Amino acid sequence: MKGRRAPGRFLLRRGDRIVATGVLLILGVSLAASLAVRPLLPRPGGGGTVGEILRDGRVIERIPLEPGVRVERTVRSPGGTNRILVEGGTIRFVSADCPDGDCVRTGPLSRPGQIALCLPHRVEIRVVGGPEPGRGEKGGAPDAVAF
Amino acid sequence: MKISRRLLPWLLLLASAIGCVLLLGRGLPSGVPGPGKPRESSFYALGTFCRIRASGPRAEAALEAARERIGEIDRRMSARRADSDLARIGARAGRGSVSVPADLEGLLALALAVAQASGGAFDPTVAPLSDLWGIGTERARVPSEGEIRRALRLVDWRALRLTRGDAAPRAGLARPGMGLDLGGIAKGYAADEALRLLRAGGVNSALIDLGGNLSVLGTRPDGRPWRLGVQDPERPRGEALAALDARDGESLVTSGAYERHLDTEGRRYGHILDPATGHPAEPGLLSVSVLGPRSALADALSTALYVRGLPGGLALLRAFPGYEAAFLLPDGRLVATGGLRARLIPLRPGLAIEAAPGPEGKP
Repeated sequence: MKGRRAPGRFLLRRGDRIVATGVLLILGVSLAASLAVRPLLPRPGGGGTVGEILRDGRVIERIPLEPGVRVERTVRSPGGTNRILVEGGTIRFVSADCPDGDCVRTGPLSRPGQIALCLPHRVEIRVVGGPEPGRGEKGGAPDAVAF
Repeated sequence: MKISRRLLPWLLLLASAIGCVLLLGRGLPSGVPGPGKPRESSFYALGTFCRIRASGPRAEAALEAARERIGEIDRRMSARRADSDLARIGARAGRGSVSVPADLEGLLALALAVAQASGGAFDPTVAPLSDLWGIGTERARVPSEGEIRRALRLVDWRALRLTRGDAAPRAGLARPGMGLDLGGIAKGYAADEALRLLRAGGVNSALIDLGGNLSVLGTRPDGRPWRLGVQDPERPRGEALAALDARDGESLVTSGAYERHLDTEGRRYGHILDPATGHPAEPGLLSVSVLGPRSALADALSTALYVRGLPGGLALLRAFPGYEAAFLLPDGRLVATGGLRARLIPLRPGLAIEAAPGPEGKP
């Protein structure tokens, strides 16, 4: 096959056509693959829920609340000691030497927005992240809760 | 093989196609691009955990100013601190007045207005009674009837005198042993001040959360309204039974006995005391939530409405146009005034939101 380029015309030679087909094939496969993989990729802002430990208002540790993750932490503060456990996708205070023990009684947290607080020690645990529930629907999670 | 120039457009197409595919796979950037990313300040003040989120060109500086002001309010208007303005007033009780800064005088004037309107259901002079019970502290106990009677003689909002003249404002308590407790209004006042400073600092989007006392500025950075929830007393903190999309400047405050209480001898004693009886209020409500433009007033009203209960609280609310309330009953019904009922979104499955009866007794 003879291909001669005419001035101004864009005639493809056979070699070019092969390459062009190849390009379109790669494009198509990549597109399909990326769309298929997309739900599995971490979204900006994180895909899974994360437990955060705060002391005096500052995040001192972030632990993913994923199945199979089991982490124990002892947090010491001027007021005393708190022990925190992450397991089974939850985070909770397991023990504390504070006067009221409210923090331990709060129990396990697993959903974004939930918090448990040891006020006397200024230690807090909370759950953040996770896919944002649809807003504008009945299930939309609040940005803050009055109590 | 030599790549011909005719190939160039195809290569460019491939390159841009791969670029698009990568972008798709990674996901589009979220949020509206704007000046400054959202900033957050978390700290302890006013006896609780405070968190403020703000966005805007100088959000960091505005947050710092708000935090300092809240710290100052905590120092000066705290009943707990011996060096506070409140302590100075109490120290002179029965012997004279003390000069007070204009901001405290204004807050005391607001407290008195709510005390008068509520017939004393909210009373800033409740300190001798709240100190006696000590609920929320390690000293918490059930006092004797005699102790309660004696403390009640020292609880009387009419005995708080404010003077505003040419000289500096002054405040005084008429009887020795009286004291001021602004616990029912201080967080709201601090939220108002924080909002004022954030706005003045050029912040265009903020959410203020002072121990559950909420105020909003503008909308979320992505343009949607800030969604504020009402705590579900049966669920862990942070879970709401209902929510609403707040407008610029609105504040939501909830009062309930489930947060702070004394449990002893099989009974629960809530921390919200009824100044008329000297005992924890038992209004037959789990909580009251107030929505309005001024957080200090919403805070005081939520306390007053909790003590008054239904239906008395509704009459009190009518004295404050622009303020709405939702009363959570033990049977799970949420009774809300008109404006609030229209905006509340139920989140707890099966939650019934009812209209509060109007002045004639009908919704």
